[in-house]
Amino acid sequence: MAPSTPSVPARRGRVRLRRTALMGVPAAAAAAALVVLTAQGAIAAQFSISGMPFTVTATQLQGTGFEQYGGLDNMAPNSPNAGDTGGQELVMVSAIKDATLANLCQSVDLGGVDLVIHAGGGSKLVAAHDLVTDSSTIAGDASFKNIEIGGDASTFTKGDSKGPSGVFGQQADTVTINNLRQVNYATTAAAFTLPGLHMSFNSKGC
Amino acid sequence: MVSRDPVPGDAPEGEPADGRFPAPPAPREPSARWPAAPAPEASGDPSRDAFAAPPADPAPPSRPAGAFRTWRGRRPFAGGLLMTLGGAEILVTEKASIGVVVHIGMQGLTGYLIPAVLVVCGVLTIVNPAQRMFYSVLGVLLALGSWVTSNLGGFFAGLLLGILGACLTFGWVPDQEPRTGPLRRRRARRAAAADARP
Repeated sequence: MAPSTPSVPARRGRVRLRRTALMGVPAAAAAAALVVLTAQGAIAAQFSISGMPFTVTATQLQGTGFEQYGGLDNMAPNSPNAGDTGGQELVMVSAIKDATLANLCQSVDLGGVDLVIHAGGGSKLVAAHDLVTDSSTIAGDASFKNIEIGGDASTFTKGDSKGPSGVFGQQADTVTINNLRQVNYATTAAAFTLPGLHMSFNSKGC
Repeated sequence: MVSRDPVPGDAPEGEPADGRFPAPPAPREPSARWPAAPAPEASGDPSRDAFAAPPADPAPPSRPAGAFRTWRGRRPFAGGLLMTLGGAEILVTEKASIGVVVHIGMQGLTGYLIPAVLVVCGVLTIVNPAQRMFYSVLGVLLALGSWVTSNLGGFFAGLLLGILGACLTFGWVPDQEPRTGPLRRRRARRAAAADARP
């Protein structure tokens, strides 16, 4: 029997490091530039978080165009956050058209470890536009200007957010909250500038 | 002479058996990846026995190739997978109620559009590797854009996975020579030297 041709391992595609670095180095530089620009407050980031409890604390929040009304949030079916309420959470929806926050601290619980975001610690404050939070807890020393309490949430105009009809709420031209502490189930901000941005992990949260 | 299969140690057929000719390599089945049996005079070197390779095969495979492995070898699998996971991670951190998203308008929709298209790029890279250039460039731009549109790129994790996946996709080239590391080259050299010894 003639000797057969020896078997050769099949030719495969392969990642070439030099080509990868050709795209990797500029991409890493661009990502670093984005982070630095955001930390200087030059770029506004958009936030849209939901379903996981999200703690926000700030030494001061000043907002214009403020609305607040009650709501019932539904979590995704079989959500691990459902607890014994069947996945429904009574929340207060706060909508602020423009807000500045000092010493903002946000933390998300990622299963044991908290991801903590600090911003606005220095002279430049965090600015948020179209900030809507669904909170289960809001605490702080609040003062309002031109507040209307008891209106139907669907008639509100100051905060650019229309609540469900028949729900009690309040709206104000300006609001100032000192030592704010919120536990949010949903947070949406169309534009969030975060000067002095600093992200880290710890076990305490805010 | 009785016709029989050549055994290692025989001189090639038709030649007188003298010490001038090296022993022919162990005969192999066309489809088997392991040599049939080690040459008798090579038994003193255990590290060489199982990998006795003819000079024409400088990189004997260390394990047999499965169907999944060959399928993976024909596409930038790791890159596509990482892009898909990055986009999925960003989508997992979002999930705002649809009413709020619609209220915010187009700006809110981009927060979902960017990671969704990133997931699509990852899947298409795996399914259609011929267009990987376009998908990788698009993927890296989407991953960078997600920093601004989607929860700081899924709190940076989705952004990192997306950029890594796009770079691996960009760097993948098809149909390469099998890799020979220094260990395999040393084994091949030893095998060739032992074959050449009288």
